[in-house]
Amino acid sequence: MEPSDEELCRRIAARDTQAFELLVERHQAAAYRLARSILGHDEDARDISQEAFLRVYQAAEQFDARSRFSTWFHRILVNLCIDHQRRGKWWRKFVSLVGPGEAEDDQPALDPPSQAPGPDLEAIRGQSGARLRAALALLSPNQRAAVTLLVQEDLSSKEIAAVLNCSESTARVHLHRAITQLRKTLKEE
Amino acid sequence: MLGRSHPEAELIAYSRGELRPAARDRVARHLHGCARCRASVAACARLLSELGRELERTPLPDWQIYRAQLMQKVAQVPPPAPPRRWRPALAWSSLGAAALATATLLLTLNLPRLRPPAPPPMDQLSLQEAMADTDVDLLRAYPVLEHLDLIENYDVISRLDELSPAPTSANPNRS
Repeated sequence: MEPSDEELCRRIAARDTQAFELLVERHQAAAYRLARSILGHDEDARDISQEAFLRVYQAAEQFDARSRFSTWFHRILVNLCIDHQRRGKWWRKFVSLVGPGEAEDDQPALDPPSQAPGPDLEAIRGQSGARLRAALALLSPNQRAAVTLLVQEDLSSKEIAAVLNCSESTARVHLHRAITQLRKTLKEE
Repeated sequence: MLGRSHPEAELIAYSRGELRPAARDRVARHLHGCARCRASVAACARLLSELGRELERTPLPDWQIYRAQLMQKVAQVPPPAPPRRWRPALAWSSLGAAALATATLLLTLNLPRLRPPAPPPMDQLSLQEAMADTDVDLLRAYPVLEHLDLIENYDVISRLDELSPAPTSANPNRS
C-alpha cells in the first residue's frame, strides 16, 4: 500500500530522503504545471517548483497533520510564485520600456490585466492553445492561480480559498473575474 | 429579467455542486428563468474544459534532471538545529560545571603567587657564602677538622662541639 502524502511528510520531518523523493515524484508534474501557468516561463516554473519542494523538506515538521498535505503544498507554491512575480515586477517594467523585441518575448504581461490591445493580443491570434495561454497571461496572479487550481487540481472554492488565504466568497470572485476576463479576451481576437 | 441581479459569481460553484442547499435552490430558480445565465454556465464549462486540456499539454521537463537538481539543493540544506528545551537538572549541572571550571582557571592563574619564591640563581661565590653561613660550627672547629682523616673519624666529626680547638702551633704536620 502506498504511503499517504501526510505519512511521507512525517517521514521527511525525520530527514528521510527516500520519502522526500517519493513525494516529489508524486507531485512534480502538477507543481510544475501550476507554477508554469502562474509564471508563464519554463525556467521560473522549474526553479520555483523546486523551491517549493525544498521548503517542504525544510519545514516538514511544521506541517499540521490535521490538514491535507496538498493544500499546504499548494499554498507554499502559489505564495512563492506570487512573491517571485512581485520581485520581478520592477525588472519587467524596465524591460518593457526597452522594447518588446529586446525583452523576453515569451514573458506575458502581469498585473493588472491589460485592457488595451498589444503584443499579448497578437499572440492570441495563433493556435487555440496559444490563444488560451496568452489570455491566461493577462490575468492577475491570484486569478491565474485560482483558475489553474480549479481546472488542473479540481479544487473546490473552499480549498482554493485555503490556498490563497482568503475567504471562500473572495475565491469565487477571483474565479468569476478570471473566467469573465478569459472569455472577453478570446472574443476580442 | 430586468431588475434582477445575476448570480454570476456563484455560477461556477453551482455547476460544481459546491453551494449550500438554500443558495443552490436560489441559483437554480434564477437559471430556470434566465437564458443569459444558462448560456454563461455552458460557456464557462466549455472554457474550463478547453483550458484543462491545454494545461495538460504543458511541455514538461526531464524529471531525472529536475530531481537531480532538486536533490543537490537538498544536500546543501544545513541540518536542523536540535530543539532547545528548558531542563532544570541539566541547567544546574551546567552551571556547576561552569563554576568549577572558572574556579580551576582562577586557581591555575594565581598558583605562582601562592608558591614560595624560587631562589635566585647563584654563582660560585654566592654558593660558598651560603655554605659558610649554614655551617658556622664546622668552620669554628676547622683547626681540629683539618687534622682528621674524614673517612676514619666520623665520631670526632659528630662530636666536634665537645672538642676544644687545638692550638695552631701544636700542629706537627704544619711546616
